[in-house]
Amino acid sequence: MAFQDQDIFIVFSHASLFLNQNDLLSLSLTSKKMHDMIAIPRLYSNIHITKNPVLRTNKWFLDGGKTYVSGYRSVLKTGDKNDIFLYDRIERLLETSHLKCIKQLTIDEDLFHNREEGLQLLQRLVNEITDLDVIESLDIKDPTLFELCSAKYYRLSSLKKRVVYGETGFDGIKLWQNFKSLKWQLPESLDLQNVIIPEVGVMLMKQLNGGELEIKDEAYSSLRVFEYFDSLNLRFKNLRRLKLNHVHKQGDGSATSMRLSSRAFKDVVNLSNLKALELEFSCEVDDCECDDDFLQDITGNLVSLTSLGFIEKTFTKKGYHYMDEKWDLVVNKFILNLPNVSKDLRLLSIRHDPPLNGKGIDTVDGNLLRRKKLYEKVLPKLTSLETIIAPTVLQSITSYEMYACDLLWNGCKCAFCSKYLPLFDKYIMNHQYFSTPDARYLDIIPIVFAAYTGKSLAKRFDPQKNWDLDLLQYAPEDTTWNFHGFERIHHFASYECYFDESSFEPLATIISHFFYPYMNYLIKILPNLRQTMLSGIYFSVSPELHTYETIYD
Amino acid sequence: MLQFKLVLLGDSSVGKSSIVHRFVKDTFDELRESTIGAAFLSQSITIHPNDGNETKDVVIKFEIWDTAGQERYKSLAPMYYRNANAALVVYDITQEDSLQKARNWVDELKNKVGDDDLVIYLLGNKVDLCQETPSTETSPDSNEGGDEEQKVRAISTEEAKQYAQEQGLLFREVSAKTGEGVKEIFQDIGEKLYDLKKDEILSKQNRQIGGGNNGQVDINLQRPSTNDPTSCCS
Repeated sequence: MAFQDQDIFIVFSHASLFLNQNDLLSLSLTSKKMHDMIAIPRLYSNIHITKNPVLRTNKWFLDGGKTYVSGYRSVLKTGDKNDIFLYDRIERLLETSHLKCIKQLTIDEDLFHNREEGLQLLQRLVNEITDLDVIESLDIKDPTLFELCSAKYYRLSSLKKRVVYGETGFDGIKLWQNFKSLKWQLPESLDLQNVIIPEVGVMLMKQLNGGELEIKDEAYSSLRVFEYFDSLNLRFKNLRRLKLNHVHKQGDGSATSMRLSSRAFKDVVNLSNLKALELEFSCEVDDCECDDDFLQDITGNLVSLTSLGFIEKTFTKKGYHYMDEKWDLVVNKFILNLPNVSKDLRLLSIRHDPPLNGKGIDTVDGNLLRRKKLYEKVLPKLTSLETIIAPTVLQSITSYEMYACDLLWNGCKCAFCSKYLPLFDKYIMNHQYFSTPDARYLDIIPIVFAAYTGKSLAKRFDPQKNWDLDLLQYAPEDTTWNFHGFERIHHFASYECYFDESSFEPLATIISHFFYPYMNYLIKILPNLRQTMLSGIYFSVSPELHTYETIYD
Repeated sequence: MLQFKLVLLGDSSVGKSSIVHRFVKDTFDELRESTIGAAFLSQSITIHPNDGNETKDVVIKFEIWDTAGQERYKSLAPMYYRNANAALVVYDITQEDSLQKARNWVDELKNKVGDDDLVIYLLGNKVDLCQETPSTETSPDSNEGGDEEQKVRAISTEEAKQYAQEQGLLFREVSAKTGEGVKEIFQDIGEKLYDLKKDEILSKQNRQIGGGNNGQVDINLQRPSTNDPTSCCS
């Protein structure tokens, strides 16, 4: 190849990073060189197998840089029809001679309606990939599939991102080269002494230097790991990204449930080098403020933080307003006390833990007003913020009746909403859900309707199950709701119901309009805001023009 | 309304998609491209069964799975015909080996689908290629052409019919191009399926009317009465 040609192909190669798979396919038809040197390697480099096709748009970039292998693109479809397309596409992938080009492969959970047959096919795919042993990231989200393939998975030598389950996961660690990311899933009853022998600990310290660590503890007591690391005198001096979960549970006498404490944590992790932190936490114990104490203890050390994520996790106090308000207070106090927060913080993600049907305790309107005022005090300080991710904000707002009623009756007055909102009003008038605590069917009220809507929109991003901070690295899935299901939703026998999946698209648009006042506020107070994801509605913001637009709805 | 799943099977280019499109849309495309993977369509018909004293129309909706006939899609076939109520096995009467391919499909269906009630319909397509046009009957010149057309047939009606009888299949020769026999296929299947499922359907209806369900309670939501003294609307 001529020297000039090489240069131009470097340019093309870089430019191709912004293309989605359809564009790359078109590119591959332009010339043999483009096909061989750019399009094919790029098409196979990063593959993500999803149940539903992803939403595509020319307005944004989330579907670029990856090849999605997905099911049937149709609003009305059954599980077996989706299976056919997905099965066929994976079969075609297996036939390719380019499997060695695959550097990253992500396989979502619960891909097939016919699970047994689907797992066999996926296992075949994973076996082919693992036999080649060139893959750098193999993310198998389905625990059963992972179990089936774990022996081969743990023998892979080139993985840069690793997942470890259970007691034997670290057995082959000596063979692992250059991994920079570890997701460790701990079973509740794990005896750490059997898993992390000092030799393993030293390897972890070495390999994760400059890398990322996620600890997902089934007992929601991740801090026990850091206490154990401390007893081994293990120190992570240069960890860049950290995610952990810990809940101080009420009335839980188990050995693993404990207060949030920063003692060992601060010694083990050099917090001053952390760039990203995602915490799933809460303290449900009355008169205990260990969550606040923990966060206040660590906040001063986080001098390099640019990405911050919080996930509320509750067990006995799900939907209690005062629990949520206290959690918000703890989080916001922590944010305000971060060093250089106005200058450094670029990404903020906050996920609450609302009940499925949205019905909470003490959710009078004034209580939400207090929570809103809290955020109105803190958010304007975050002047460098570019991204806001709020996966459950719709439910957080509409758990309070007045705000849920605003959505249906006092909100957007545009022509579109004026046309469709009365239909959804009719929907709630004619449908009931089964309330387990009441042991009877109850009318679907606006709170319940909004909560089910939020849950349905969350299906766009829920299959990712990784860091909330990374949610904007995935294209959302094209999912719908058939307006039934959840808590045995039924319509009255005398009502001829026409609500199905095809009614979901206008509902998503209505929800995007519901968020307009919130977006109007956000672009006013956050001069550098570029993107938000609010309950599955994606907004792109132009900081220069102070305008925004919805991407998919 | 009753709903049944119907799949089409057969070698590539025998006209499966054309039969479906003739039935669903009443159209024919000379240049139809090969089906990739599968296509899903639906169409309803009305049958007029005579159940005892009362004659009542029944609407039957077919959920039609039109499959690709190419060999590369063969591994998907079990996913297509799983839970099917009826299968149209199509062959091309002008292609000698296509009946053998159809036989293979019938064997596979019989071996792998456990349902004795599966209705299998053997269809010989493209009869229009073997029929004399009206003009050929009157013109001696065209008669030669007509004879040539006649020669196109590679599989005799008798051979296929005999095979269908041996296997207990429904059988018909059709033309997706002219529409000859297409509607009748679905009418036949609808009536056959209704006949097979009649008892099951009637007992289900009786359970709903009587409210009894082998001791279980069917939940049938009715609007709350406004005479409820505890209701705020009373």
